[in-house]
Formats: sequence, C-alpha cells, structure tokens
Amino acid sequence: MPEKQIVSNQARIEDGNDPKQKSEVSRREFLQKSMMVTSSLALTAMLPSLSKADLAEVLAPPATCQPGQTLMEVMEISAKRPNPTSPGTLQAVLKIINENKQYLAASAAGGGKTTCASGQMRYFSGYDKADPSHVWPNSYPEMAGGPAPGPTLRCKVGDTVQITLLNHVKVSDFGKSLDVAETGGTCDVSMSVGPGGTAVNTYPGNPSFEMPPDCFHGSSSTNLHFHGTHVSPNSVEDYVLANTRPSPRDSSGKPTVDEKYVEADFAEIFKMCSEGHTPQLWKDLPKNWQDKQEDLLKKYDLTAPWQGVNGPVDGKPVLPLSQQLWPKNQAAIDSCTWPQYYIGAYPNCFTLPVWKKDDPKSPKMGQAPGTHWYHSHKHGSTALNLANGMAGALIIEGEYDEKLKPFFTKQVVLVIQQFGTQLNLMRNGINDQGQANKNISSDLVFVNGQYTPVLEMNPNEMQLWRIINACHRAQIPLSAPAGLKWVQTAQDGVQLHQDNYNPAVTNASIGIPAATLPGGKIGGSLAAGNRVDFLVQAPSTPTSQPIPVNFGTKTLFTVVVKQGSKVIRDPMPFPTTAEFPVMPPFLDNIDPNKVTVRRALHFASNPPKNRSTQGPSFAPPTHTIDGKQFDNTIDQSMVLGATEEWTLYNDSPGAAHPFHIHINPFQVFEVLNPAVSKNPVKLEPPYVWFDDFAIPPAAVPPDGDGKTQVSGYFKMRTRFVDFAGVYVLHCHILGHEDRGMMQLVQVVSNTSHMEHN
Amino acid sequence: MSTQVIEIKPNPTPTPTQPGVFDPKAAVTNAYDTLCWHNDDSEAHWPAPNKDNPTGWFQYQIAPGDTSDTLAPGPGNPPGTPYTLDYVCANHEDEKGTITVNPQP
Repeated sequence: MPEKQIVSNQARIEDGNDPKQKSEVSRREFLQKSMMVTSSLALTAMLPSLSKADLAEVLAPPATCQPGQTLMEVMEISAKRPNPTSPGTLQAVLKIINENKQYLAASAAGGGKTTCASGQMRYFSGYDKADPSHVWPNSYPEMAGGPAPGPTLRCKVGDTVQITLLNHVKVSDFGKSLDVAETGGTCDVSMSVGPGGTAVNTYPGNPSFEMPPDCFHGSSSTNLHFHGTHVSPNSVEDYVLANTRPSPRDSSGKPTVDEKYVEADFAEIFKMCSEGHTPQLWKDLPKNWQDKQEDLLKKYDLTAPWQGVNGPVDGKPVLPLSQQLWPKNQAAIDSCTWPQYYIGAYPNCFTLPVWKKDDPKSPKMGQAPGTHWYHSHKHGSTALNLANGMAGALIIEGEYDEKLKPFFTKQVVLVIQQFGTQLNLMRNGINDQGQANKNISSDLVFVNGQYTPVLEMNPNEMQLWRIINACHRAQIPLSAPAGLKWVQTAQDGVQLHQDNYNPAVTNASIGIPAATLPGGKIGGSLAAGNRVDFLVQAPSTPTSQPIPVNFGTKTLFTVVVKQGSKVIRDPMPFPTTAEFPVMPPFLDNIDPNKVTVRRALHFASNPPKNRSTQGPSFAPPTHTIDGKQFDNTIDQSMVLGATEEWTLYNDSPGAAHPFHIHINPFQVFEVLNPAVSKNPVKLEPPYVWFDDFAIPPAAVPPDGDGKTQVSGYFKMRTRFVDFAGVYVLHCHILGHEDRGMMQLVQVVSNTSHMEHN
Repeated sequence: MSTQVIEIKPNPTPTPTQPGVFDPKAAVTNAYDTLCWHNDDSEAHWPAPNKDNPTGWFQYQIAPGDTSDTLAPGPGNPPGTPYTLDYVCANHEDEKGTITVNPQP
C-alpha cells in the first residue's frame, strides 16, 4: 500500500473525525510512531519507503518546538450583520478534538533546559458556521502539530453569540478520568514507579490527600465560560456548571453527535435566544433534543465501565447510582433547575447587553467592550484543559475601540498560554532521595501557540495589543520593553477612565500583584485570567536587534522593527486625554453610600489534612476559601441589584491568589501588599475595573515588627445586577480552583408577584 | 514532558494465556513522562509488575474499551541511568511487555 494511503487511513482511524481536517500532523505522527517502533533497528532498512525529505521531516524538530517563529495571527470568526449599524450574530462551531501535539517543555533535568515534548492534547477546532471550509487551526499548516488557542471570536456589544459546542474528544487516548467526583473514588490516579518496579500512589495519594469533588477528574468533559461577559449565568448562557461528555462513536470510530445531529434542535434553541426567550428550564428545550439527550445519558449510565468491569451486568449499570448522570439530571428537572449533564454537544447563546441612558428597560450594566476570552471551565479539569490549550480570545467591540481606531494601524491579539499534557501533581514527584522533586517546573509560556515568536512593526507605527493571560497558572509581570513606548488603555476588557489613562507614561511595567502607583492609582495586572490593552509605538528607525518583551527574567516574545511597504513618516501619536474615549456612564464609580452588605473572604493554602503514608514524603497544600474547600454548597447569597463591598484576604505567604468572580466586574479601591508595607494603599477614584485581581500574599512587612506575618488583601465594590442565578468565584490559578479554591454564589431576586390585601 | 498510550490489542494468534498483545510491546519513555494503557480487546487486561501482584500498578483491571490510570516513571538509580521495567498482564501470564525509561533529555 502506498505510504500516503497508509497515512491517510491512519488519520481516519486515529480520530474518527472529518478527514478533510486532517493536517500534516498525522503524517508526522505516523512517521514518528514508525520511528518509535523501529528505534533499535536501522531506520533505512525498516522504512525503505521513506525519502530523504521524509527523514528530514522526522528528524528535524517540528515548527512548534522551534522558538522565534513569526507571530501567527489566530483565525477570527466574526459576527455577521445585515448592515453596518444593525446588531449582528456570531455563529461559530467549536469542536473539541484531540491530537498528538508537540511543544517545548521545561526539562526535568532543570537548569533552564527545554525539550520537545509530545502527547495527546484536547483543543478547540473552530469555524464560522457560514464558512466551514476554513477551520482553525487545522487549515493552517503553520499551526500543524502544535497546541494553539481556539479561534478568536469577534463581535460587538448588542450582538448575539451562538456557539455549537461539540465534544469529540476520544477518551481512549487519555488515562482514565471519570466525570462525577462527589462521593469518592473518582479522582484521576497517577502511580509513580521507579527502577524497582513497585508503584506508589502519587496522586491522589494513599490514603488520599484530597477528596472529591476537589481533585483532578473528568478531563474529557467540558463546558464554556465567557470570561468578562455580563450575561446570564444560567442555562445556555455563561453556565459553567454544565458538563458535556464526549460524543459516543459509531463502529467506524466517527462521533455520532456531530453538527448535523444537532443542527435542527440547536437552530430552534438559537432562535429562542435571539428572540429574547432563552430556554430556562429543561421543558423549554426542543422535545427532540430532550429525548436524544435522555437516551444518550441513560446509555452512558448503562454501559460505562466501573472498577474494571463494563456495564451492563445482568441488564443493570455497574456504575454506582452516585456516579450515574441521568438520575442527577432527573432530580434537577424535577426541582425545576437546569440539568448539568449532556452528551456530545451543548448550545451556547446569549446577547451582549446594551446599556441605554434614560431607558427603564435598560440593563443596569451594559457589556463593556474590550478584550475578553473564553475557556473550558469544568470543575476538576479546568487546569488540564487550559494546559492543553482550550482557551481563545473573545473581542467585543464598541465605542472604546471605535474611538481609538484612528490612532493605530493594526490590532494584535496575543493569547498567552502554558502548554502541557500532564499536570505537575500527576507526574512522578519523587527524586532519588524519595523527596519532593524540585526539578518539576511549570509549563512554558507561549503566545498564540508559539514560543518566543517575533512580532513585526513598521518604524513609527502604533499598534493596539490586546493581551490575554490564558495560562492555567503563570503570572505575566511585563517589563516595559526598551525601545518601545506603550500606554495601557484597558484592564480586564474594560477601558480605563480618562483620568487613569496617562499618555505621558510610556514605559509602565505590569506587576503581580498589581503595583500601586504614585498619586493613589493602580497599575495593570496580568495574573492568570487578566487582560491588558496597550497602544504600542515603534521607534522611528528599524532595529538591528529584536526587542524582547520580557516577563520576569524570561522573554515572552520579541519585536522586530523593519521597514515594510507602508512608510509612516512621523511617530503615530498616542491619543491625548481629551481624545481618549469617555467611560460610558454604567462604568461610573460605584457609590460607596449604596453599599448594603460587606463581606470578607479568606483565601489560604494549607497543609493537607490527609497526608499520604505511601508515596512521596510530601503532599501538596490544600487551597481553601474561608477555611473550606468547594463542596457543592452555596457560600455567598445576595439580592439581585445589591451593591456590596468585599475584602479579599490572602492569609498565606507565597502565591498571590488571583480572585475571579463571574458575571459582574468590580472596582478595587484599597490594597495591602505586606511585602511592601504594613500600610494599605487607599486608591483615588476613578477606580479601575477588574474581574480578576491577584490578592497579595501574606508577608512580614518590612516596616512592621520584623516577625508578625500580615495577610495581604484588597477591597473592592461590585453590583450584583441584571442576572439572578448561581455562578462561581474562584482562584484563577486553575489547579487551585480544581482542587477546591472555589465557591458558589447565588444571586436571588427579591421581587414578588404576591400582594397582601 | 510527554504522555504515551500503550494499546492492548487482540492477539492475531490468540491463546488462553495470551489473548492480547501490548502495542508497542517494548515501549520507550523518559523519566517524568507518563503512560497509560487502552484496552482495545474484547476482554479485560491488567498490566502489573508480575502476575502475583495484580494491584502492583493499578487497583483494577482494564475493562474492554476502557483506559488505565496513569503510570509515572521516575529517575533511574543512580540518576541518569536508564532502566527497564518488565511487566505482565495479571489476567494472562504470557502477555508481556517492557518499558525502557531513559533519563529526561
């Protein structure tokens, strides 16, 4: 059989997905698998059909393991509108598939060495529903073989977003990972083994050092979070409690829940959304979709394996009732709440709310136009899914960028990610002395799927950089690059107030935790989950050396300034304060006099209560909020419309825990970083809006008594407006979130239809 | 840091003690990488350090169509020394495989 035919067949067998999406990855993968099998034998003897070019392809490091490539622009899927002033509709298909990916990783040998690692990774393969011929990243040879963010979604305030989420992960390509982790026994398990051959339980330990639901599990199930959106947390909007399992496959290996399978039902759901009556209960969904999902879930419950045995046995599931999915959905349906579990697909749809002055029907808050993002958010697997690459940019346009457009030539979306196939706690954590292995380091940091890529600018050019920290844990404290001028224009997808925009400071650095600036202001932050926008001005002459954009001691990417076809005679100016867009009124300062409730939440990293007696001589810390891990209960309840003031404490030294709450952003007005001083910095209004803020760690203040540790904190005000429902707050170091540093928030309406006569 | 799946496939010439085969039979990995097994056969299999110690690596056998937990090899002794792990299916004593663990590059 011709080799190309073998490769082609191999591709179909491997993923069972649409063959047209197959890239050169499969070819490389096939060749490398062949290499692996024949590694001890003469290559040319075993693979006589390989040409020199083939051999070169196999032996050379793939592009994804080569630093310094030209920065890739991620494919965009944009909303379509009947005319330029009409609300539009973004219709995207996001398919989660998996593939063997290659990427640079830190070597366990330490010393800053890197190695080209590989392994199966889940990722978003996406396309515009109106144009399925261009699939990101599969249609782009530059991205072949490596992990990448999902496609960039671009829409405007007022647009409707409709996403067909298809889960086509092939579970057999990954270690065992069950969905439900509520009653024990379902954490992912990693056994460490050494030369003696005897294995010990590294994760979750024996006895387990952590308990469900706060352990890694269910990593092939997924959902979508639209980080930075002000939409409903319920049903098909920003509902992160959804859990969508991979599609079943037919006898040929092809997923059965595909776009065609869901098309008619999802079209009906999307129509309901766009007409303003989004499904709120199971009974609101198309009957056909209800029946299909019930059938699929019951089949899963009946046939799923449990402890080495496949169901059914004697016609009954082997999966314990506590692990079965349909009974949980049925209970939710019976109690008139939205069910959590789905198979193969999920429809996400919402309209980005428009604030209207003097309109009684206007939402209290509008959607802030800016740099937002989407990512998978299933508790127990958020960190691993983001390490695999499951995040992408969501650019919401509006007056902010419209006003800035005359000042830049190009906007560049930079999605920063850490890639890895396995989380540190799942790796062998024992060194040769039987102690914790300090050489296991964090995953490396990439930009748009590339390691230290090169961004090009023309002399005198101004660009708008939209930077998203989509890392599962890394903080990105940016140093001002020598030779470039930059001015921050937005934080976390919300433009700065004119009074906070300062074109005179063109070399600000981004600290983690955010640094307080002279004059009672606060600087930007790129902790995990944060976004910053910069206007960036290139120097007037080409540079002989690339300009590094560094974070800490490492380079994130470099900038090469060279003359392109377009000559810009003079430096493009930064907008003056007067030219900077005016903050829309719904983003005015929150009035402190309207605060009705004050809360204090304490984040902490603690020694585990259950320490393993077998395995490594250490166990990782547990991560808690108010002294407990996430336990499926509602920890914070508030009334719809309430204005509240919160103090977020970090009682532990070490990590700055990035606090994130969904749906509503908040204004930070006071920060204590005890590593700097015992005295808090009281910020001056107008305050900066954040939706994610790294709580400074506890420390012994340099101006204190020299021995007493003080908790770090920040204070913020927020409004729980427009949307009632249940959603989450959590640490955006996602391994902490998966392992318990999360709480449920419930916003309830206090209006009533009752009358007392 | 890589991950690798070892397939358990039906033996083309099955016997009662070897109905399946490990593919690759001789796997090669690096210290600190991870491995797991996927059972592509119609009966359960159970990779283990020896047949008398079925739970030596995994608490349960692998049902048909299912995957195992993760196995995470560590460094050699002394560090930098490659080593080989011999293993067997605890359910079928003639199903054997090896894992060569090289130092992390």
